[in-house]
Amino acid sequence: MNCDEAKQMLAGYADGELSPLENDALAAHLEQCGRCRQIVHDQQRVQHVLDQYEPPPVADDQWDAIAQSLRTELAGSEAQTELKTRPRIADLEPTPEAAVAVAVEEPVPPPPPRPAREVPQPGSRIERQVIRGPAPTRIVDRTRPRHRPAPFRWMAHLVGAAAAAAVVLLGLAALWLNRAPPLEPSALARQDDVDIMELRMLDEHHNLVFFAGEADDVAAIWVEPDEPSG
Amino acid sequence: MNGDPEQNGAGDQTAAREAERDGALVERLKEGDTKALDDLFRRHRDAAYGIAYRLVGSREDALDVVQESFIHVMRGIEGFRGQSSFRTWLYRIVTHAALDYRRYRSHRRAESLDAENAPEPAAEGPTQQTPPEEAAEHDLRRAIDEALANISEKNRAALVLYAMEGMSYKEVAEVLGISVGTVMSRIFNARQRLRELLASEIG
Repeated sequence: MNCDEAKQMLAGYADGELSPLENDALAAHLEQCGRCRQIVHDQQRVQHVLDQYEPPPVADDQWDAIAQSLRTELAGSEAQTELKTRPRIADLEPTPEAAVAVAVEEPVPPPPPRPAREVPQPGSRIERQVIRGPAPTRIVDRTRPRHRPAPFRWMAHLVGAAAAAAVVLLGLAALWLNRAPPLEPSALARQDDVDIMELRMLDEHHNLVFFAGEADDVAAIWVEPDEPSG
Repeated sequence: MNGDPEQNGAGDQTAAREAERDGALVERLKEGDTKALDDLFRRHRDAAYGIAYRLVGSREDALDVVQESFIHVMRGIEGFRGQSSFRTWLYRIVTHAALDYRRYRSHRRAESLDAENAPEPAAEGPTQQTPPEEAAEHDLRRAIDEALANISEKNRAALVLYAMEGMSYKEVAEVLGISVGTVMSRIFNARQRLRELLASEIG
C-alpha cells in the first residue's frame, strides 16, 4: 500500500471505521510511514477538540414555545404556512425605507347582490352548494406608478410619422437623381443585321427599347414606339 | 469494524429498541396523536438542534431550522414508509433544512444594501460575570464555529453528522445519500482543513 492508497482510509482508521482487513493493511503501512502517522495523529487531535464542542444551551421555555407551535400546526390552524419561505418575526419588521414601499391591501367593494339561486329540488342533479369565502382583497403595489394617459402622446406620433415621410421622400429623390438618362429615339437606328437578344424595358415615352448582341457586349440598342393601347 | 463486540452488540440492541419506539410513535402521529408528536420532539430535539446549530452557526437560526424540520416531518409523515429509521429520516430533513436556511440567509445578507453597516448579531457569549471556564469554552466554540463556516458545505455536513452527533459512517452515508467511501473522504478533508484553521487551538 502506498501513501495515496493509505490516504483514502486514514480518517476511517482514526475513527475505527475500517474493516479488520483494511485496518491491518493500513497499520502495516503506518509502521513504515511517518507522514501518514502524523496525519492520523492530526485527525485524532481535531476530533478531540470537536468532542469538547457543545452548542449553546436552549432554555426550556424556548423548547416549549416550539412544541406549542408544532401542536398548533398539527391542529391545522397553520396549514397554509409555507415551509421554506417562513420568515421569522424579526424579518417581517419593515425598515423605514421598506415601509414606504410595502404593498397595502385595499378591500374590493362587495359585488352587487346576486339574484336568488334556484333552490334545487330533492332528487335533482344539483345538490351541492357552493360556499363562498370572504370578499377577496386586491393587492396594490405602491412602488409602481399608476398608468396615466400621456398628455402629449399624439405629438410623439406626429413626429414619428413626419420622420418616416421624410425618409421616404429622400429615398425617392435619390432614385430620381440617379435615374438613367432618357433614351433619344431619334439617335437610335434599327439594326436589322443583329439578333434581338432580349427586350429590356419601356422608356419614359412608352417606347420599346431593344438590346442586341452578346450578353456582355451589347452591339445595338434601338427603340420602337409602343403601339397605342386601345 | 473496530471496537468491543459486546459493547457494539449492546449498542445495536439499544438502537433497535429506540427505533422500535420511534416507529410506534410515528404510527400514532399518523393518526393525529398530539402526544406522539410531543414525545418524538422531546426525544430528538437536542440532536436536531445540535446538527442545525453546527451547520448554521447561530442558536436562533438553529431553532428555526428545528421547528421547520419538525413541521416538515408532520407534513410528510403520511409518506414515511419506514425504509430508513425515523432518526435517519429526521436527520436528513434537518441537514437539508439547515443547508437551505444557510443559503437563504447568505442570499438575504448579500441582497441587503446595508449589510456592511448592519450591527453584529447579539453575541451568544460570556458576560462580565461569566466564569473563566465558560469564557474559554465560549472562545473555543466561537473558533470552531468560524472554522466550520470556512469548510465546504458537503464536508461540513459529513463531519457534523459523524464527529458531533456520533453517527457511524454508514448512517452518515444514509442521511446524505452518498457512499461510505465518500463519507470517509469528506470527513478526512474536513478535519484536515480544520487542522489548518484551528492551528492555534490545537497547537
